[in-house]
Amino acid sequence: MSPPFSRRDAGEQSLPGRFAGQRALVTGAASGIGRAVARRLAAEGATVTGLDLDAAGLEETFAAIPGARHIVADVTGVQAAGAAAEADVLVNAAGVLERHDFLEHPLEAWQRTLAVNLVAPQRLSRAFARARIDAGHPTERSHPGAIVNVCSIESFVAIPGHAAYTASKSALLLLTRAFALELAPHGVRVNAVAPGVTQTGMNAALRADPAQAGALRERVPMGRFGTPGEQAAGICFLASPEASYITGATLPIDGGWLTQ
Amino acid sequence: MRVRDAGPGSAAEPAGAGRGAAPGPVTASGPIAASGPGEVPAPVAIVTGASRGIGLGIARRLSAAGTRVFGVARGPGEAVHMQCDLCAPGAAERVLAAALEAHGRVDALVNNAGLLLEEHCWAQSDEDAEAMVALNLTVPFLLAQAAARHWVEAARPGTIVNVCSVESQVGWASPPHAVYAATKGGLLGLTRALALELAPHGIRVVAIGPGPTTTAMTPDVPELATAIPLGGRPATLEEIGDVVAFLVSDAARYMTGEIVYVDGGYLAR
Repeated sequence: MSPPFSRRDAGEQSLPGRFAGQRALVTGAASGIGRAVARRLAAEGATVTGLDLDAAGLEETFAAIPGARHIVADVTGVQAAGAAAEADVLVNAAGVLERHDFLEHPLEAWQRTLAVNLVAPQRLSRAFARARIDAGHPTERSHPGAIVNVCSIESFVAIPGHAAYTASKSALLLLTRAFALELAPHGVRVNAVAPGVTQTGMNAALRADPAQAGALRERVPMGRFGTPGEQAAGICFLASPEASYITGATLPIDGGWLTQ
Repeated sequence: MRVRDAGPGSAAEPAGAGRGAAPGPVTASGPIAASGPGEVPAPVAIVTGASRGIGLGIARRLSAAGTRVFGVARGPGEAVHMQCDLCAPGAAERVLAAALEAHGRVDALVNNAGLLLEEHCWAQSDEDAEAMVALNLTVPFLLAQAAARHWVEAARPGTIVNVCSVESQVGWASPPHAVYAATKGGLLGLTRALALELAPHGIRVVAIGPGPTTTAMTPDVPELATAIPLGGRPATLEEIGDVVAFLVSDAARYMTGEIVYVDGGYLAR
């Protein structure tokens, strides 16, 4: 069998200057997709604020980016909302996945998942939108404003044991569309990516088990897992002026998972 | 901020309320059929939000088909058998226990109760958002869990119908209610997740997605009705109830994880 087609480095070459003069807030910036987005936005000229509860992870993300701002705080809190109000680009990348059989699913796990994956993006997008609108007509603002939410293939299909995650990511899909619809007249674009299985800490244990990793990989038409950099490439595109006519869209970045 | 108990996906008022409509289960095309050809109705069904609107319509339609309905709502009503706050701790277990005590069995759960609080997406309060997430998402999660645990333990099949909305698919800008749309999108995701997990136990989980539905408020929004390709009018409560009756009957026995939009072509535009 030939090796799977792979150009995974191609998606990780930054476009210098694309976000020059823009301020970006990235949640979940201490690891995984959030880290890759934060680094890429910085490499493309943005002044980046990374928010996460993991202080050491934030340090590592921004080790080579001296101007970056670190906020160690809960993503649902007022400090996070304050940072969102000051940004030109908001990337809601913080997310949690707790696996439980539905019949034994603890209510607390359901509520934690909804808080991080749904309520936090809602609150941050609310603060972002309010500040944009207060700043005046879209044509008078230096940057119109763009939000990118990290949804999931589970915004479209379910995976057993992921009841809370599937519900929260499906909710985030509609949050994306409804915010996009309502904010379009105000010049604020709202989009999302829908990652498939991506090499992050969220699924590290699963990928470390050869049998489980193999079975999972077989479900991906492209025959491999995605990289955080490949997610960041799509997220940065949607946040950039190149996507100026795109709003309410959810871009699957999933190696073809949703085609089957 | 205007407050309604329900959005396009779950009407706030009974059909024809205050407008002189004839009482009883009559549709535009004639009397309600007890059930479709070959359909075996569910013997006992829990219906939440049964005091009015779509919930009352569902309760009436299922009763007409021969289902014993256990209606639950915060306030009283002709189809309400238990008044309770579904968001209170332990409410799901209490509802299931009360339905089992009343009828000895439960075959279907219709998660209809919902809350719509209209507000601009940049202004909706935390309290309002939390209230919608609680009733529109967490309550169906907990009721489904209570019912599924019972069915698995008793080794019985069961059916769950979640009342979603066209807003499980698209946004609704005027009047604005983005968080409501998010909760209805989440309920569709929950439908798919539970369908996969509970299929091995013979439990089906499906959703219905109403568009604008006849309530006392819809005549106030004429442009909304003209957006409906089929007849240029909102759905009647009976038209929603008919599809729920099908979904809980054995005629839908191979359906799970699906949403059926009943929207007069709204989403096809």
